[in-house]
Amino acid sequence: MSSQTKTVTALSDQAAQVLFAPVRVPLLRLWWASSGRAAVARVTPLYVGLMVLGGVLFGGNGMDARDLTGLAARQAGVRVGVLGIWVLLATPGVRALLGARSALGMRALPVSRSWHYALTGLGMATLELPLVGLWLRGAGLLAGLSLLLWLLAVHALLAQGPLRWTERGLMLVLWGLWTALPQHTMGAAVHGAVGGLVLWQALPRAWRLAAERPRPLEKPHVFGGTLRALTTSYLVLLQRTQRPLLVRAALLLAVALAIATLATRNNHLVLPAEVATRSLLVLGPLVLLAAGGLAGAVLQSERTLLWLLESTGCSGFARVWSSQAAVVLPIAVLSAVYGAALGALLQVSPALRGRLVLEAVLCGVWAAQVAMALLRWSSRGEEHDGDRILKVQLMAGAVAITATWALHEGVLLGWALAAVLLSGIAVSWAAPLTRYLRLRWQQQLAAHPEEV
Amino acid sequence: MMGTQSKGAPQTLSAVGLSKQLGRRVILNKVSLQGVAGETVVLRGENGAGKSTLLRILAGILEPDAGQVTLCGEVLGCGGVAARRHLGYVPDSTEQLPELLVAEFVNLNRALKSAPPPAPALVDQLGVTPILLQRLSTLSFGQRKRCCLLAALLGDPWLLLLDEPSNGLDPDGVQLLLSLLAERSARGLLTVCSTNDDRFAAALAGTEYRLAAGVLQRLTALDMRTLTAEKEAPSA
Repeated sequence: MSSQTKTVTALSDQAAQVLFAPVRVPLLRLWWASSGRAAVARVTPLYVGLMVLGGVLFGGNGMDARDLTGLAARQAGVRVGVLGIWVLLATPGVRALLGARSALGMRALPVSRSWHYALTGLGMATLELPLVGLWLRGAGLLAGLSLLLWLLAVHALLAQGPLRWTERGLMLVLWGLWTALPQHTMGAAVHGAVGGLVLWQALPRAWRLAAERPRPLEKPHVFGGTLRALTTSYLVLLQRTQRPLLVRAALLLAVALAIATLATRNNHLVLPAEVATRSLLVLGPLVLLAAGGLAGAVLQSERTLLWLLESTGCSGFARVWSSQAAVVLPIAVLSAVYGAALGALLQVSPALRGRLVLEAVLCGVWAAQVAMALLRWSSRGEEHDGDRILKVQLMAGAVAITATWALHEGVLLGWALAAVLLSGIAVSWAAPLTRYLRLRWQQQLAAHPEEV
Repeated sequence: MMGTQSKGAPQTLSAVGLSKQLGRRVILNKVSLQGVAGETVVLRGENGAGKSTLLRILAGILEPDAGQVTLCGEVLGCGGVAARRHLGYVPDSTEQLPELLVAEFVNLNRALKSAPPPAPALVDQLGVTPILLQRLSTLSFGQRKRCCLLAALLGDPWLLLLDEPSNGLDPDGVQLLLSLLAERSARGLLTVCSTNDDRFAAALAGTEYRLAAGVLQRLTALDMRTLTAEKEAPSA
């Protein structure tokens, strides 16, 4: 046998081992990959925020779960309000779980429908766990389980898309019973029974229809010259595909607000300069983190558009400034809200309120530019990108804190200088000619490492 | 526009000595390609032969390891923006499209190319009008191709680069594409397209090249007859 034939035979054996080995496709793993992961990604920022809020409300000498469930049992308004808020908060996660188009392929598998329903129900129940857990702890097993069935039924109805008259009627029945009947033993049993029956009817329909929902027509938002069109494209992509990151950014600034308020009050800071410095001290590192998340998503969008940017010869200036603007704009709005809310919570003078808002916005804008430039520098499409990005963010946060301790409000000047310097470097690195020269140098390095 | 760009340069596209290696694999080995005004260049070759890589180099998306592309007298390398103003590129299915509405995608292309809006007749002709407010991700493969074609035709580029353009298009779409290309050719504009669709290539009636093992070879009439005979042999 010639060596070539031997090689071919060896390869064929290898291929046969790979291709014809018995295949077992675990349904749970497929389900997780096609829809479970998307739902978890959607709800994680929200649940982290709720955990923080829960820690504040129920931790230490705070409320007990029984206080809340007891109040809900006594007052219909609280009962409806708590569940109304929860239904609104959890619906995006449920929709992501049921509506993932990638899950459509699973329907072609030779698997009984009941397995699909069971998995979907299990996933939905997992998403409802935070509130159900609270109810189990506060009101007992029966109330917790009946609430779970009630929530699953409501979400199964909502996930179907436009409701028919039958589903609208069922929704009215569920809310009507929830409003009228407190969760005493009898009430809980009724909620559980009705919820279970509605779920039995609604889940298969939701499973069938949710992924087939037609997307409503949207208004176009991308107009104008290169800079404006690219910026709005990135903003639109952030809003459409990375909404959890926007929520995370808002939550981080909410955490900053809570810390800044407590730190100012507990340390009895009253002088305007002290209050303003404390605000910047807390805001700096957290706004860097918030902007870092958005910057990662914008850079990802830029990579998606790379073929278009390259083939049209988009300038380095347009690339860098449009991506920075897409991060700066939402961060500026959030920072303004942070400054205004801090002023309101501390009940300071109007002049200091204005100062807090202005400084927060400036800090947010420049920190966002710094975060974007640092991320652009640290993510190079290499294996160790994750480590490098984390180190850079931690170092930037530490520098921000140290600089604020040392410079007080003068740190804003430091932010501005860093933003201008790093943005300038980013523009020059993103310029087509610089990228071409860098590529040539890398090619030369790869071809003749000893000469370079 | 055509007059100023073509003065003293009868060849609109000149790619000389292009080499490209991805990892250890040599994709292109000193490939040269010339295209003149009004010509339609057809690139043939097996899957993975490097047709898309060659088109991406001609579109300025990839930099060659060696060699140079000149378009209307302007060098495409070194981030040359002027040369890129003369080209439009329709990617194959592997290129990523953003989660934008069709109208937004077209507007973004317009902004990047500083091009005027497309003629409504062209939008209609390509069948894009009813899907202007839909997201690219919700469209079928063929519809996405039509949108990319519309975006590439913005600004009436000198050089149109099409990667497997007939893939996913319905028969009417293929006919429309052929008539668009014939009309471009009559106006003295150059088109380079890669395809493995024999009927489409035959209908294009352009200059055919075959890319194999990193080498680009111009096909003569005899080569094409031989290739056709080879393909028909098993069925016979």
